[in-house]
Order: sequence, then C-alpha cells, then structure tokens
Amino acid sequence: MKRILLLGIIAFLALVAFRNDENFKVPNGWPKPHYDFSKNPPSRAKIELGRALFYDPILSRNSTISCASCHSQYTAFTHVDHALSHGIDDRIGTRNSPALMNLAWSKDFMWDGAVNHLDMQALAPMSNPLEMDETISHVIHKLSQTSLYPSIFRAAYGDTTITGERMLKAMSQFMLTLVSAHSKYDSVQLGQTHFTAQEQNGYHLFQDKCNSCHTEPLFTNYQFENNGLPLDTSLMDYGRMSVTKQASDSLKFKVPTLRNIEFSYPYMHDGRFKRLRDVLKHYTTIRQSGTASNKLQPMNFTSNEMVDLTAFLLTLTDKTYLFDTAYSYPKYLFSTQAKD
Amino acid sequence: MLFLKSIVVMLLLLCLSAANAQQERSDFQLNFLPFVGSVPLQLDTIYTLDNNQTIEFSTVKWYISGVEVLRNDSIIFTKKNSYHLLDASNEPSLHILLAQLPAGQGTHVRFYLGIDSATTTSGAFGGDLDPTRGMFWTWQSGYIHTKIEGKCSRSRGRNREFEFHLGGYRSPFNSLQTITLPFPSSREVIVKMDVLKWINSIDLASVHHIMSPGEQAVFLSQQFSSIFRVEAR
Repeated sequence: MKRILLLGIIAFLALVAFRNDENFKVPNGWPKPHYDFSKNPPSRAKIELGRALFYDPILSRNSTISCASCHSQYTAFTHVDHALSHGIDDRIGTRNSPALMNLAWSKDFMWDGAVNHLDMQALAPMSNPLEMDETISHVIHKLSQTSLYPSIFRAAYGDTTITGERMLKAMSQFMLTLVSAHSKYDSVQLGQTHFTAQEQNGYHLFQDKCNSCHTEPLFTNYQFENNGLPLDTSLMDYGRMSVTKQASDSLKFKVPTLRNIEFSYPYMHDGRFKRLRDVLKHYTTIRQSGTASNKLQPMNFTSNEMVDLTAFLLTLTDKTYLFDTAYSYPKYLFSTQAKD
Repeated sequence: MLFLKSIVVMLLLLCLSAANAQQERSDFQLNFLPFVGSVPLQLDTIYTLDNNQTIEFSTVKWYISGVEVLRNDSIIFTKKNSYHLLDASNEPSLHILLAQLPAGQGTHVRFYLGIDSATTTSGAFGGDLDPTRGMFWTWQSGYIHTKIEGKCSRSRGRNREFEFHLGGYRSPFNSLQTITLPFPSSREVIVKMDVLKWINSIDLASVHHIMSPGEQAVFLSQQFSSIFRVEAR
C-alpha cells in the first residue's frame, strides 16, 4: 500500500516537473534565470491569460493601445520604424520601445532600470499618459465587466477573482515564455552548423571589441553604461541618473541585447540610428568623455570589418522566435468574445 | 512493547501541555489613532490653528510592516505576513491584531514604517500590497509608504494644496524607518500619531509636493516616524 502511494507521489512529481519543463526551459549553456519561478509557478492557463492581456487594448484608457502596439512580435517585440514610440492619441513618448526577449534573465527593466521586477513592468506603460493613460484599478474593473476575463482568470487561478497581483503575474508568465535561443549563432554553438568565413571574422571582431558589454550568450551584461552618445538636448534624457540621482550614472542606459538586432531598428534608447552601419560608425569614432564606460575603446573598424561584423550580427536573428504562433495574437480567445 | 511506547508518548504529551499552560497566551491589538494636535483626525475637515491658519487632510495612508514584540532585546513574537496599509478613511484598517501573544511578557513593540527593500524588489503581491491599492509607484518601482494630501493656508502650492508621497528603497535614499515603542500591559495598545506635529516640521511655503524618492523624502520619513507615541497606562 505504502509503495503504491510512494509511486503515485513520484509519478505526480514527475508529471509536474515535466509540465514546468514544458512551460519554461533554460537553453543549453545559458545562466540561471534571475526571475524566481517559485513565486509564480508557470502554468499553461496563466500563460494564456497573460498572452490575452498582452494583446488586449483594454489596458489603455480608450481601448486603442495594447502592449503589442509598441511590442510587435515580427520585429522581436519592439516598435519598428519609430525612433520614439507613440502611444495613445498619437502622443509621442521619450524613448524607443525596447525589444522584448529573454526577460527571465533581466534584473531591471526600462532603459534606465526604473522598474525593478518583471511583475511590475506593465504598470509603467499602463499609467504613462503618453502610452496607455490608464490605472490598473480601472483596468481590473473593466476586465471584470467582460464575458471573457472572469472565465480565463478562473481557468488560471481557480476562481473568477481579478486582482492586480493575479493580472501582473499572469502577464509575467507570458513574457517569461518569450525566449529567443534559436538563431544561427545558437546552432553554431551547438555544433549543428558553421559560420561562413565572413561571419567567423565578424565573430572574432565582436569578441574582441563588443563582448565586454554585449556578453554572450544573452548579448548583454545587464549593466548600465554610457556608450558615448551625446545628450539629445531636446529630450534631456540622462538615463540611469534619473533613477539613482547619482551624477556618476549620468547618461547611462541599460545595455540592450543584440539578439534579433536585424529587426529591432532603429537603435539606441532614443532610436537615433536607423541602420546598423550608423551604430558601427558611432563606435568607430567614439571618444572617451564624462561617465563613458571604461570598457569603451576607439574601435577603428575598417569598412571591411564593418561588413564582417554586420554579417555576424545577422546570425543573431531567430526566425522561429519572430513567427512562433505561441507568442502571437490569441485569436482563439478574442473570437469567442466577439460573438457574445 | 507497544503499550510501553504509548505510555511514554502520553507522558510526553502531558508534559508539553503543562508547559503550554504555564505560558498563557492572549490576543492583543495595536490601534493607530491619527490626531491633529489634541483632537482625533477627521478627513476633509478644516481645522483652525494658531494665527488663523487652516489645515485639512484629504488622504492619510501609511504602511506598517514586520510587526514584532520584544522582551527587552529578544523577539518573543513575530507577526506573520505582516504588511498593513493603514488608511484614515477606512477605520478597520487602523487595527492590527497580534494573535496569541505570550501574555505579560512584552516590553516593546517594533515595526517598520514602509516596506523593506527585499519585498519591494520581489514582484507583485496581493492583499494590502496589491498595486491596485494606489501605493506603488508605476513610473519607478517602489512602494509609497506614506501618502498625505490636503490643503493648508501656509502652502504656496496650487489651491494651497500639499501632496506628500514618501518612499524610496534604494541607497542612499532608503526611506524605510524602524519604530520601537514601549509595549504596555493592556491588550488594547493605543498608538497616537499627531499628524499636525509632522506637518509643522515642513516649510509648506517652499515644500508642498514631494512625489519621488530623495533626500527630502528620507527626511520627511524620519520626521513622520517620530510622531508615533504609545500612551503609558
């Protein structure tokens, strides 16, 4: 009898473990995620709830702007083609919306790290008057009035109660699934394919000149650095200093990942560079100044080197990520809502 | 053999229950009472002060967390999940139950004004910490530990308003305050807070809106923590 019970428990645990594996898997050779999954254990129902919220403009004051408005999957979840992202009523924000991926490894959010946890991230765009211009309390009220949400909250949490905590944690669960780890670069690391000679040369240049900030395999060191960009005097954005109030943090911004960089243009916190070539030119001509990172060195890339480096950066494109239907608009949820 | 074992177990249980009986436990309650000078605070009520000055409060909310009862320097009681949003507009929120406390043992009660940085950086929570309670900054993460809004004739703000949203958990502007008060023997512990004393420490003519972490938020948090008083009985 005891043995049967024990076997039952083991089978149950194996099943649970398998299900967690299915919902979140750390790619081979990657570090341990920063996000504490034990405080928000993933489940399919919660992920799907978070996905619905991510794509639903109900989060904005007049139901026109969803998270996906500025974070479109086909461009690695950023707002392509807009230097500064625009939100509700065509109001223009002050920064370029960052591409979203591999968020489980990120400790701080926003270009200046003003948000300290993935769970709390959605609060910022929801309440920003230039983005969604809403309050979470009112969003929760609106959600409870729909025919869709009480039932999918019940599927996720066992009852129809909608709270800020439940909403934010479900959104985290969806965003945590946004893992991009299937680029050509990753295949090369796994020994499944090879770089071309040009890509290989670019990779060597990258390791020599870029890797100290854009550290493999996530292609960021998750630090705040001043990469030598002059202050845009119309925006007067001092980055990290506005959070810490320390002069030593002036003009520092979070080092962004380079994964899927082919699609996440324009570049930099204010989207000032349209093309990768402009970015590489910036690093070629850089001068040490003020709080600029001590990791920065004049890179003096030749035009051939720039071509090779670009070829390498393009190997960071992950097409399966850009087109994975698990991350796309959940038509199946919203179509049932339209009927009633 | 089995019989012997059960006798031993019975004896052990008896000893345990005897030990328990020696340490009597009862429920205590911390009751927070905001005052304006010597009168209990009523929201949206105009108080006339000296020199014909007037003041009224529309919002008075603050977080208390990590409540502990001490016997001299050692902790004899720790309240579990101790995060409490006290709101002058919601009378029941002003009472914190300390259940099953060793009776007659405590000499001091200690708690935080605010939410510790470990909790602040650990994501979303429900209950009193739920972000829908309006006490979590959206544009820059962190709990507002004290939110006090109103009007005063001394304020040079628009419509003579003042708005203080105190918080901040990052060094060097960590605004969390530890408050230790004497713990009387009565089961109803009255903690009086003279909000007027706090506001009198502010030069409202120049400082009427504090909405972000920084030096002033830390200073005003220190001042606020000094208005908590327990009446000796």
